[in-house]
Amino acid sequence: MHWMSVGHSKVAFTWVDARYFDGLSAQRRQVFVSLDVESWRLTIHDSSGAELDIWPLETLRQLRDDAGGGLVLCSGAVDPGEARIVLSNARAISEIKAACPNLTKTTVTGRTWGKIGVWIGASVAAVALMIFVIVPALAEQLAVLIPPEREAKVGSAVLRQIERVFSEQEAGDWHCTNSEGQMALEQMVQALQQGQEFPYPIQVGVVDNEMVNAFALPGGHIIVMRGLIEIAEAPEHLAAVLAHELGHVAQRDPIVQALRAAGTAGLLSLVLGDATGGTVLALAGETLIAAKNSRAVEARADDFALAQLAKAGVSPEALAEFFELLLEEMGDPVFGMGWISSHPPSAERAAHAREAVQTARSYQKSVSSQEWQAIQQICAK
Amino acid sequence: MTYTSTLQGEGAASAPTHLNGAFLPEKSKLFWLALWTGALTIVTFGIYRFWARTRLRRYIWSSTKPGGDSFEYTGTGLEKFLGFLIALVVIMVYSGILQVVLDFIGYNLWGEVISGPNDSMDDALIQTGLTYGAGLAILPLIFFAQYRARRYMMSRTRWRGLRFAMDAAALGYTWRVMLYFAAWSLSFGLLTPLATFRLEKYMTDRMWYGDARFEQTGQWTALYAAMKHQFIAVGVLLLGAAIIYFGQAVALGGNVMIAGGLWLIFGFVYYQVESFKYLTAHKVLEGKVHFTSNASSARVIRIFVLGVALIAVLVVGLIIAFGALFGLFALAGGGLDITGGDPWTEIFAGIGLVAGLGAIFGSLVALVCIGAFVIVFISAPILGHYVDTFRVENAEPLEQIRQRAGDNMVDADGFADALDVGGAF
Repeated sequence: MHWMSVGHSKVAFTWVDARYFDGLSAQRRQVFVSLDVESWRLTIHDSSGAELDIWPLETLRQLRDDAGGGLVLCSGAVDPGEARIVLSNARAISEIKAACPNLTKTTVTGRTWGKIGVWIGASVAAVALMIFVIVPALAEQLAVLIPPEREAKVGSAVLRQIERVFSEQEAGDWHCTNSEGQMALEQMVQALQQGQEFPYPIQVGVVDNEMVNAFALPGGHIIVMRGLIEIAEAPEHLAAVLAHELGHVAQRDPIVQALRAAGTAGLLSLVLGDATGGTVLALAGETLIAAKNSRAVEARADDFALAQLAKAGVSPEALAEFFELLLEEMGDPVFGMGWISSHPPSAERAAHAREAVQTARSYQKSVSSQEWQAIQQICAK
Repeated sequence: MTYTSTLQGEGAASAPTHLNGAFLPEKSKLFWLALWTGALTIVTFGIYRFWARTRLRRYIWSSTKPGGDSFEYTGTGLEKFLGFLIALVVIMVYSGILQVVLDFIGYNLWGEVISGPNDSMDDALIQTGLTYGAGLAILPLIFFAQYRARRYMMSRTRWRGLRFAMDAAALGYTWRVMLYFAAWSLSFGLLTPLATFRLEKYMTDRMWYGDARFEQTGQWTALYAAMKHQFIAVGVLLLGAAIIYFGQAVALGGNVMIAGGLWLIFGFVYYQVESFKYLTAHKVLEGKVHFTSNASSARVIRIFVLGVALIAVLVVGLIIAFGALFGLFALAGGGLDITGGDPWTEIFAGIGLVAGLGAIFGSLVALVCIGAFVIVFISAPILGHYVDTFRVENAEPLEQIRQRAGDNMVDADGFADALDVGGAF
């Protein structure tokens, strides 16, 4: 083994022991390698001194994350070749590291980038297609096939789960049972059903909770929370909300949403992998997708509500007023949850509701003020 | 660790008759690699995980040196990422449709079964059934993914410059696993050796090193010997149950049953190790090269138990350190007001945001640290034990083996990544 200096600081070596695998057979060969900085190449001699191979220095690549303690080299600018040299001589290793510029360089061809681009596009498209088109469409198609009486049973099961949650939160009665209030409420709902066929009887109930919220469950259950009745300034506001929820029931939105959510939930966690930063993103993404999907559904329920309010003789303006009421209260954190989050109020939706008002027509109150008082007292014990 | 074959003279002339396996990682290097790649994975919201896995494999492969020559892992992170994207598109469509359909069936069944107003038991039953239904439907995909992942890893593994490979036969593997899985469940686990042997044979008979083929010989019934501790454990469990039931001695019977339970766990590990030894001893390469394994189940259990204990101690240490840091932040951010008011409310008011961010950051750091600890103190040592006790017998014919063409799997082990069925490495 010889060490020599070339030029100012260029050092090279000759006849350093190394192991060589030719990439053709499983034979391990003892070879000698020489680094020639002048001619910019690494020469491999076999034990008899015959030249085996010559590797240009710029094509040399080292295997990375190698635990061997030595240096494993291969040659090839784009695809690493089959042959390998394993060096263990520390000084030779440092010479090679100093002389070869591209040891750790990886070259990715344009074709590979193209492929990556195509498949990123394809997977984004597949995700979008599944989440926004196929799963919702499938959910809608299948929901129609579920017999109403079975959906009603699913609804009562969901109701029982909700009951469990609320009875854990607050001891005592979670359901408001004042019979006068209940009767007035049912009368209000009855009036809003004019001219509509529902697949199942509508059951409306009030939950004793301060949240400003109302929602429809599968099977024709409509739940209103006490907070929403308290914030309403007139019975028509409550009627508007009920009409909107009836719209969801008429379109069987709750069961469609349940089916859709089941399909979407798994898909996102698939994309983002297991528990690391991905989980947070998955949650955020799911919320966004739910909001995006629901916009069209909400608009349809709005239209239904406007039509039914008009039929019941209540001014559609009530819906506009209620949205404006919510918009004013938006800043209050108490209202940040509940109906506002699932039904984002907007000037646009309010304006749309105002358009439905027929100026030539005179509207009436939805219930008498006595009945409205009864509804407001529905949770009183 | 001594190599039977050393670097003296001509390789071909003094080819050793056997090669010893040797696993020689530097623990600290492995730890920092796992920690660093884990941190990068978090920072990139999981995208770096393909490169992280690849780098870990490169390190582990190059630490494994039968006869002194290390394995080389030639897979790349980019290729893994691409494979994941491809698999994602397929699984996306499959599982999205599947979920909706299963839910539909579920709601229909739900309505059918629930008759009374308070059948919460039935809810639970149906929901459990649905979960298992979804699991069963995804099961074939998981087995498919396992075979393809193994094929990908083989195709990206080289030793002495030659590639390993596996035939493209994932579909055949999938339906066979389903079949043996059914036989296994119907026999209450009694047919475990049949499933283990036949599936291993299916894979081994399709494995290659260069142009040389592997073959699995032996008898599946021979694996019953490896199950003996499971049988004894079941006997002890039954004895305990009998003592409780007939002898009315609950305390004694309970203790006997606990012993039986522990014995059963040992029995499972024993089966893993012993069946591996049998299957290894009956693998043949090119009809000439044989292998032996002297792995010990006691050693594997010891590594595992010591590893868990060590990690528990380290995690407690980390929690204390983190708690101290957290307290400092809380004091700095909250400005403890001692003169007036309730100091606790002051602290909690002041550190709301800091605490929230700190908690998220802390739990992520803890996850990465624990992941790295598990690799360094459990997965790698167990793999190391298997490698160190592994021997290639009659190694001369290896010299005659020639290279084979590369296997270009575009989907890499993407299915395994998407379904999260990869092993430790």
